[in-house]
Amino acid sequence: MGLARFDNRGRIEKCSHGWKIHSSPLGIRGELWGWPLALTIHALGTALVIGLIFIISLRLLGLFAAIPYTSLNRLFPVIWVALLLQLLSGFTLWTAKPTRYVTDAAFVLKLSLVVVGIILTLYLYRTIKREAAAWEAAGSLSSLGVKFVAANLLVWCSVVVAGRLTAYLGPLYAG
Amino acid sequence: MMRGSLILFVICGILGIPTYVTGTATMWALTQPPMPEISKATINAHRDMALWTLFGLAFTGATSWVELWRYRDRRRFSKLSLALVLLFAVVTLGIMTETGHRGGQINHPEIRLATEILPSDPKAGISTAIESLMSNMIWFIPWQIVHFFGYCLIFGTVFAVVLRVLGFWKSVSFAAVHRLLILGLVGVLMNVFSGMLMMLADSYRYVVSDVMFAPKMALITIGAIAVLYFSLSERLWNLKAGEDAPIAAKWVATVVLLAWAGVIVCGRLLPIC
Repeated sequence: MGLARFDNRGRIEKCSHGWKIHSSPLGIRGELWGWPLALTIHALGTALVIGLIFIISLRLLGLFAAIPYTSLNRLFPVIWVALLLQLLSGFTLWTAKPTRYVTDAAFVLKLSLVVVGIILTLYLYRTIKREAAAWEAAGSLSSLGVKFVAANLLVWCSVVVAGRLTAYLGPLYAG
Repeated sequence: MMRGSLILFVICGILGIPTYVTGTATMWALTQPPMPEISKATINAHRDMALWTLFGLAFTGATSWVELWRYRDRRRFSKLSLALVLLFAVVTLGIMTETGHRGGQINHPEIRLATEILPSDPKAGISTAIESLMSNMIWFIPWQIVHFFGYCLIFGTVFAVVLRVLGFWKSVSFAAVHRLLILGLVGVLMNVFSGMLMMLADSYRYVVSDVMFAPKMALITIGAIAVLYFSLSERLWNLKAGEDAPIAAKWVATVVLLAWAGVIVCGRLLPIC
């Protein structure tokens, strides 16, 4: 079970980013565990960020009414920690093929969406802190608030899609 | 009694996944290299019916689970849902019987009926049709994206519920958090469907070559069965905001969290190890 075992079926080479790790300031060059480790952390971080954004958003959009708005803030620290893991593991993955990524349209789109998503989510966190008690009394958010929550969710969903396309479209149009 | 039957249906549904997957592994064990007395066409006929069985089990298991989940709030079962579960179960049993019969024909020629015409085209059937579609990248990418959203929903839900049980999110009652579990079911259905499609694309690689596939399937089974505890424990259900969960529940929550984290780790390492 060597780490870099390729089948003759082609798919694996397309699925993984390939194993030629050229240069890396983080010392993962030539050490094949570095890439899978960063990849695994990135996958777990994705689940936490997207999963919890989904739960918080769906609650703010009116589902799961038994969960008080005021208790949602407790979930944000998990998102911050997960985002930090994402930035660290994502940077590690980027160092493996820096030029390939920055010229990839899907990757540039993903990175821009991440920046937008983080700003929107920080704003959401501050707003929940300030307004949750008022929402609790009113029973729902303002219609503007609902639109904002939906936009934030959409941005994060697009990050996932763009991330997947980064993995697949690159090798496809590079031939 | 009713609850017991529903629990049994859910567990049958979950066990359908490892059963189908080990069946695929068996197919490759029998056909790579090919054996003269084993017909790939007969195996495919069995495999197509097994796919329908898996669908049937998934429907029966999912409707049973939803009814168990709703029972917590309503304290009674809906007659319509129970009838639906029974209908799915009976239909699934019928499909399963035919699957078993076709399976027997693979290596028991003595049970073949004289009137029966055995399939002879090894390329016929839905399993091989899905195989050839899914080995095309254009088909593979969208289902993989579905798979990513599915695992985010599953893990996010599991994490939130476990957070509550372990005492890190005490400002909500357990009953409120329990409602979230339906999101996890949505994720599971998305991922069983997309996952099966992707596995069919290159099943030899997944079930035979990839060392991470077997532990992933085992962890899905463990994680899914352990989650049932959240819908069955009376003490958890009565947990108000601010109260601490019993220690047994915390152990179960830890198992659930580790199992599903393990599923993601194994899944992510699939194309690598």
